Amino acid sequence: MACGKGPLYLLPVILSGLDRPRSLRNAELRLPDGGRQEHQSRDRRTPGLVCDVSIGSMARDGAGTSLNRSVTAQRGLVGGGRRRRPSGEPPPLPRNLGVSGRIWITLVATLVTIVGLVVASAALASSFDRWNAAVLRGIASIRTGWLTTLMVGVNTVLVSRWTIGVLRLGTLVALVGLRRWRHLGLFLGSLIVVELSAYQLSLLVASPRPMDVRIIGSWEGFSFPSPQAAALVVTLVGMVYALLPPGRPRSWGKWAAGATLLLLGLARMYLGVDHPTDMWSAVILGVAVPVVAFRFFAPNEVYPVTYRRAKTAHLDVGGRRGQAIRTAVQEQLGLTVLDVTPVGLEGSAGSTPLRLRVAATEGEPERDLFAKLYARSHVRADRSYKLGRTILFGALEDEAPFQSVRRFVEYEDYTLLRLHHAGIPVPAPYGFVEITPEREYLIVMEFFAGAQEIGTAHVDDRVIDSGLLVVRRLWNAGLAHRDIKPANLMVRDGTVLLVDAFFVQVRPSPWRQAVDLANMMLCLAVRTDAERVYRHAMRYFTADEIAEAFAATRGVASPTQLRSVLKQDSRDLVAEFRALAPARESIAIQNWTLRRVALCMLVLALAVLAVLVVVRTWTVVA
Amino acid sequence: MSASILRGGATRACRRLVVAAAAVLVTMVVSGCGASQYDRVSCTSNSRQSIFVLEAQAVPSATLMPCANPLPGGWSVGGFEVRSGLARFWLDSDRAGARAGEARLTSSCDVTGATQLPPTAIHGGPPVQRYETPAAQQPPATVRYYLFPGGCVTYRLGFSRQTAPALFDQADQFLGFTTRARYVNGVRRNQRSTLCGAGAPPCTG
Repeated sequence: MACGKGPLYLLPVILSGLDRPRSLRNAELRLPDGGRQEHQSRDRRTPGLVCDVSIGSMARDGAGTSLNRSVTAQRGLVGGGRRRRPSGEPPPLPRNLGVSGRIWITLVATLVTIVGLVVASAALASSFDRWNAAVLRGIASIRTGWLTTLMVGVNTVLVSRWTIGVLRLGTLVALVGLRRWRHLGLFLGSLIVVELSAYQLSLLVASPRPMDVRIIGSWEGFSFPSPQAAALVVTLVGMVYALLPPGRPRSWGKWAAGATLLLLGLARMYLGVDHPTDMWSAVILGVAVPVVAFRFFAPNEVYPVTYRRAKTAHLDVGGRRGQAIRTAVQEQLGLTVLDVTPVGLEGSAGSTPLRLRVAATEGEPERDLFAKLYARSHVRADRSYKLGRTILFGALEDEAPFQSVRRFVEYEDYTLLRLHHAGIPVPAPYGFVEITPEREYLIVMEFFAGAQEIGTAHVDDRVIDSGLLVVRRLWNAGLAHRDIKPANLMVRDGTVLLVDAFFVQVRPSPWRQAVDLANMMLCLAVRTDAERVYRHAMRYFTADEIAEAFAATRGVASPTQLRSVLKQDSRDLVAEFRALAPARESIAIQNWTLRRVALCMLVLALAVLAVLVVVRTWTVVA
Repeated sequence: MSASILRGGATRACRRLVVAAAAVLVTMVVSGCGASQYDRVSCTSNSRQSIFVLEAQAVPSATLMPCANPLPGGWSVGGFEVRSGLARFWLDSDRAGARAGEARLTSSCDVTGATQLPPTAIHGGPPVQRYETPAAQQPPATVRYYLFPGGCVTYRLGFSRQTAPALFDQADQFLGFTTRARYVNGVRRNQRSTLCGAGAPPCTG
């Protein structure tokens, strides 16, 4: 057995063997020398404990895996139904451009190759010209009065700057209204990329308008690729992907866009304005760029286009993602997921909370687990949130933002373990699983079956003591929860249970700890009264500590939900607590630092730059 | 090999294809595959990327087309625009500023009020009638019109002989003409096609 060093902070936790539920601790690994060691199934989470274990000993615990993985599953099974993903195999929910996405990329590559050859070889260019001319001569030979009038009308309407401008501005307004910023950015980006690429390509190829046929109607610039057609194509395809939900609406949208483009292509070739190759290249550019952009940067599974009322933080857990969650939990935790249901969405904005129904395992019955799905959008939201708070309040949010979703989920898993290890009543951690590397992770923990949120539970003296004791233990362990609010406090059998360890801070400032105490007392007092809570608090805290807590707690120091609950309460609980505690001067929240000033200036500069960029590219956009 | 592994390989291949295509495109655009602005409008240009065939299509009746003679230091071709019914290019000067000069080809011009100048002859082309708008009408600009069968070139300078005599003498030499017939013949010879309009046989449709 060869074990290296793992993260030191986990060492005591791992050695203690207390932190994972039984089902996750019972994986026995047989050592080459015949010895046995109780292993915590943390082989992937703690590199230091990746041990040399014979395949034969692992294979004996094999359990079912998904069908498409059955070949490798026979060799890769480890204890408890877990399975290591072999190198080269895609993750449970891979980024997927789809078959059509790959076809469009191939077409773009082909287009670029042909352009390169045409620029390099005049003979090839001439042969293309001759072929184009022959096709157009054939089309022009069927020109008739009424058909010409119709085609002129079609061309005039579809490539008019007004038509395209109205479509684009309408889409931009709709996306701003729907606050679908990622789709907005991709739509704008696609427009700019396609228009600039089409313009640069047209200058490079410098293809004149069709020969041999009389050109009917107006045109502008070189013909390859058709700039007017490219503008319409990218607009329509961008609209389809940014505005229409996947499924039937998007499918219809694609057909409608396709029919429109076919009509435009026929009209422009009929009128002799564009060659067939001009239209094809415009379509390739105009479709490929938005399709690849939207599929790659805003896949449906992660950024669904939906018109159902829902928080944007919540991801759709049906379809491919639902299947990926099942596969990932099975392979990485050895638990068979029977059902995935969103739960408590109204109280969560930073992740997608889920209830997982898992099948019975050795020694444990069929049960529910709680899970939180994190994606990169949550990391960005957290970053923006912290940036905004830093600008608004200075020292209020004094921790560095996370740089990746992996760090995000690793941190929560770590804090959950710390809390659990410190004896604070939090859900037992099961670890986390990878859905899409560096994009989506799912953290799994115990589901508090039978527990009630404190806002609806019966709160008696036992509950008050239990809640206050939670804060005392946090203080003793050198931790701060930082998000104590009714939604994060559950009550079961007279005990307060703490959920959501995401904001937990190790070795926090005294201010943070003081705020935790005040928030807990406020949560308890909302359900009882200030005097009673204060009396109980005096058993665990000194009067000065309570005074400090309420000197530190003002406005934004409390979570939004708690502030909202306090507003609905007819009493001024903060004032009541302050009156009960010894007098103490308020602790300042606003803190001006060089960093805060620099951040403010940077954000201002970026905003000005963004406005300038939009103004400068307005002709392209509109 | 499982289907999922194949899928992963296909995704990687696609990614490489995208990167390769983008690299080729960017390289072609920025590495000089594209002609300079001057080469596109130069009277002596033989570049396939010149705008003259397109100019001939924009104003199919015009028997002559404007082009730029060699420019002295301090002058450059700022850009061009060709669309149905109109072709123009403009010149930037480090002293007279951007768009200090502009040559515009249309099928006709209104020369009412302009003073007629002695006509000039273009080698191999039709005679050209010249007009100039009195300076008082367009201070401090100078506007000249060159009329020939099927077309008119408006040459506008953002200064006058009086305000910038040295610049004016330079700019007076920049405007040249090339014949449509040259491109009609070139297209017929190289592409076996007809550049519809003046000097060419009737086109289909």
